[in-house]
Amino acid sequence: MALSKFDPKLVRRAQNGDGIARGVLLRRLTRVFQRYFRSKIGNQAVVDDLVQCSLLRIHSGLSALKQPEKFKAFAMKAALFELHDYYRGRHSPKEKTYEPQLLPETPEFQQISSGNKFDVERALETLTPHARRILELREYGYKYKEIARILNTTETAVKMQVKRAFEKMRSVFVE
Amino acid sequence: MIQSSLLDKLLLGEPLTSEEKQACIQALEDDPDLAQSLAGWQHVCEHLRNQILDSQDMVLYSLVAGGCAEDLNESEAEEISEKWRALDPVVESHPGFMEASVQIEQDRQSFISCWEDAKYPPVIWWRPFRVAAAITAVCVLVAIVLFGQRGQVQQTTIIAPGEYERIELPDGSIAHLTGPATLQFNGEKFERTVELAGRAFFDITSRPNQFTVQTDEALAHVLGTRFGMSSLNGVTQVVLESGRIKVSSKGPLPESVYLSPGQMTSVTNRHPSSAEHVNLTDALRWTGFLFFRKTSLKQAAMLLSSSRNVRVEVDPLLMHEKVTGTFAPDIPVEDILSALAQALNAEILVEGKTFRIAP
Repeated sequence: MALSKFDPKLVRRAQNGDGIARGVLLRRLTRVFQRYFRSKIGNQAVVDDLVQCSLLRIHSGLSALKQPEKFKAFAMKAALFELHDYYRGRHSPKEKTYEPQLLPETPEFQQISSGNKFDVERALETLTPHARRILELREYGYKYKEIARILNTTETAVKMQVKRAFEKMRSVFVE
Repeated sequence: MIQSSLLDKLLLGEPLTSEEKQACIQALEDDPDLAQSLAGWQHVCEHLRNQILDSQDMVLYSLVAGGCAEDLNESEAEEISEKWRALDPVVESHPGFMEASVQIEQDRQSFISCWEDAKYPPVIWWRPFRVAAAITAVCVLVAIVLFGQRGQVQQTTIIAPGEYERIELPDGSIAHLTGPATLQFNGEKFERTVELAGRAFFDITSRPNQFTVQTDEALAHVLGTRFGMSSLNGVTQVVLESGRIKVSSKGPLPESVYLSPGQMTSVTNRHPSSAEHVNLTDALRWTGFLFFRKTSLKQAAMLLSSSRNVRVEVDPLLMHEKVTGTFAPDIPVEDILSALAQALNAEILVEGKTFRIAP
């Protein structure tokens, strides 16, 4: 008589306001999310945050779930959305190279910070597809060692490509 | 001149100490070209960040591209479908897009693995039930061993066509017999098993051990439900009003179907038909019961009038109010009307032989 893991009936009961069913559902999901995020992220505090945020997505979206039998997909998307939101925030630059405190307060440097004089597309054209791929994956939020794994190379080689990309574009920036 | 290690940190987005920040400011003041190049670098990075899809669209796009479109709900599918054309140039102009998409597909697969592998304790609220069921099973076994040799006292009730009789069974369950019907059970040692020929509506009390109704053609196993069962002319028909029921054909290779409320099955030639939805009022009309399921008060009054041979009128203001309830044939019409009136906060006016439900 026990309901299976995520039986649609259990989901439906939770949707219909059965507090016990909702509790069982969220407890079971917690195990899945913990296991999943631990496999992706080393930091336990980050794992706990991601689990909580994913459960919150489930909690707030559960009543709108029209097909309880698609609960697995619903939970999977919640986890993926949270994971990739986290990735995106992970690579926000720790230090902006042209932050006001890093730039001298002269009219010449103020013009630099406005960015109007850079031809970004032309600068990007100087890059090889491989280098551009690395810069894009960085903006998707992947760490250098993850980019290395994705591109089947080493972390050192990836970092070297980043530095070379800067050197190639430098001539465009100072024209 | 900036130290190469400091420049590397800036390019790779690594944090700077306060001393390194000071060194950086000094280097940028000394080298305007470097300051301009680093500002350009930052603009390129921001440009790329603005060009890529937001994470939610990226996940949904990747699911569709990976052949998992069924994982999207209607609104997500619609949203991605609208954006699909605009996404093509993004995919073409961004070499990192496909790799990122493949990563998301791998993320999906690893989630599915975690989902499948996770172990769960049984649902807590069933534990007491299981313990009770186990204890009951042991008790029944002991009882069989200790008292198995004692004689059986069969109790039989036979009623004529068109007659109605309400029988309370030893476990508190009620059988409403509608003639012609014959009901037999062991009155001394009742093991929640009865034999039925004819028609009856059962209101079974919930117990850990199942209740079984046998006919010539079929067996119905329940825990605590309300259902109608008839065995006439070689056909057993079961209609479930509430709860859950397993209906099996008799014979060396029994076949079973499970019914949900509002479903019916017929067992003939050792074969139960698939469960089908029925209108309870129509399917169980022979029971003499009144089944109101979000029934308009107007219709409820008509059913009540025709089944109890009385006249029931409804005030126009209440005609479309919905009522739900089940009323056995032995419930007086006044009690039914009183229950309906109470549910609607209405009152019953008696005018001669006519009952009127008014606000």
